[in-house]
Amino acid sequence: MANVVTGAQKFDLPPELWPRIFAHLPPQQLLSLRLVCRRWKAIVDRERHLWDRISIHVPDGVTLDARFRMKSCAPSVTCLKLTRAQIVTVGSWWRPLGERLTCIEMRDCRVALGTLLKMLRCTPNLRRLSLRYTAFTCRKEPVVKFTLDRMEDLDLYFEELFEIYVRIFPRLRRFSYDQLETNWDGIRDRLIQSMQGTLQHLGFYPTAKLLQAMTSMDLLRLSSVTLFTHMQDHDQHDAARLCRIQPSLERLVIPGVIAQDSILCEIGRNLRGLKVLDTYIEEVEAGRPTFLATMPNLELLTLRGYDKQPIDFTGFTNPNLRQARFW
Amino acid sequence: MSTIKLETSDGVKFTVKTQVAKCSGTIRTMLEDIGINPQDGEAIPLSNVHSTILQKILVWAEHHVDDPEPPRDDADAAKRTDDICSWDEDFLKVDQRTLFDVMLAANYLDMKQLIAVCCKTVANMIKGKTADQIRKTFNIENDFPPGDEDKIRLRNQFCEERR
Repeated sequence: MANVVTGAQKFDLPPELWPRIFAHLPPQQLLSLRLVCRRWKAIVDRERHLWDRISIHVPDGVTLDARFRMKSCAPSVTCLKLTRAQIVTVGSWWRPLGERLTCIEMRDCRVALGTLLKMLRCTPNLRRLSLRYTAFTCRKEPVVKFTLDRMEDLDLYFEELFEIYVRIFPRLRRFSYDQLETNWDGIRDRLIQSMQGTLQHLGFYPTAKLLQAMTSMDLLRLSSVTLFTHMQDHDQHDAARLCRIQPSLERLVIPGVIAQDSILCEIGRNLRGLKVLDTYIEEVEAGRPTFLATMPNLELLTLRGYDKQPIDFTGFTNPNLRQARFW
Repeated sequence: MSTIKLETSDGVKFTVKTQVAKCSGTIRTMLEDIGINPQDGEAIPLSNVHSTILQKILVWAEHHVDDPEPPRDDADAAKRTDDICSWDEDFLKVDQRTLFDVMLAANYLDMKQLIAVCCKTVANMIKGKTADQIRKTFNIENDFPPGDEDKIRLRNQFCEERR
């Protein structure tokens, strides 16, 4: 095919190469790409994965009520972020928006439970829901007759609505809640119990009761855990116990646990497939991280809080270790 | 050392080490799967590639022929654009038409590593530029009807980078 050269040069790339180029650009630049020409706009809008790093941002502290109208935004964005929003009700604008959303992040928002469920009913493609620090103005529970089968990632702060989540999110793979409230132990145990067949990542505060309950969850095969703790001495024993219960773990993030070398050795001996370890460590005996010898498959190591003495890595052969970070 | 012949769109024949030619997935498939026998002396026709571009691509392939396989699916490494090796950087210091022609040919010849490094190079030409600057860089005409640009700009306002 001959190119017509008229004064200025005209040449171009096949359409499949542009998205691969655009994937290297920072998310904000996608927006300027949409302004270049109609062809580029069409290419950018069509490539959904490019938009994964962009979210719809409603101004902080907004009140969503009957008068609120959602301004239209770039059509391929599928993540909605609300911060300090007061959600009273959502209008007819919600349905078309909700249908395309794959991710909703509500941070520090106030919403009635009924309203939240009404919103969720219109989000069949939702994969991630984060309700961090979001509180319910009214907990009256409406009849729930829908499930969101694609939902896989749930991030909570308040726990009291576990029962509803169990019903509407039957296939959770990632579940994280960042609060220790022992009153809800029983419900939380039941939630983890009910999703043990699909759950892969758990972020939680371990309690003796929960760890005990987990020993009898035969289907639970976690590959990744983040332990939130209060940096107490018994935390490291909880972490070690968890690793005995869940030997399938490949990724262990315990930034709130002050671990001793001997405990990390025990963890390493229990987790033969451990690839990622992120922990807080204050001392390494004689500067020798002997725990490394128990973790032959380790790929990423992050040691926090360690600044006392240089660690002597000579003699440790961790052939898979790609990166070690010290914070 | 075994060699094969390649014939470009303008009828130029190249004699190339088989190992170097196999940097191209397309040629590799022809030799291994379809069973074209290079000993016959027949040249493999590359009807989409001009001799000036093939010459350049063979220089690249010769330099990279012993490269190890790239690590699979490293998302972070894939997004970076500051990891182009200095040899490749110099190699791709060419006018835009040549760069695009190399990419078209690499695409046709299925040379993943060459395509990847070219994509990074073009991304670096875009990075940090406004729409207007991008149009000038690539000589693209602004074909939006009057007013449309403002509408898009307004919609863009409600988007932001995650986290």
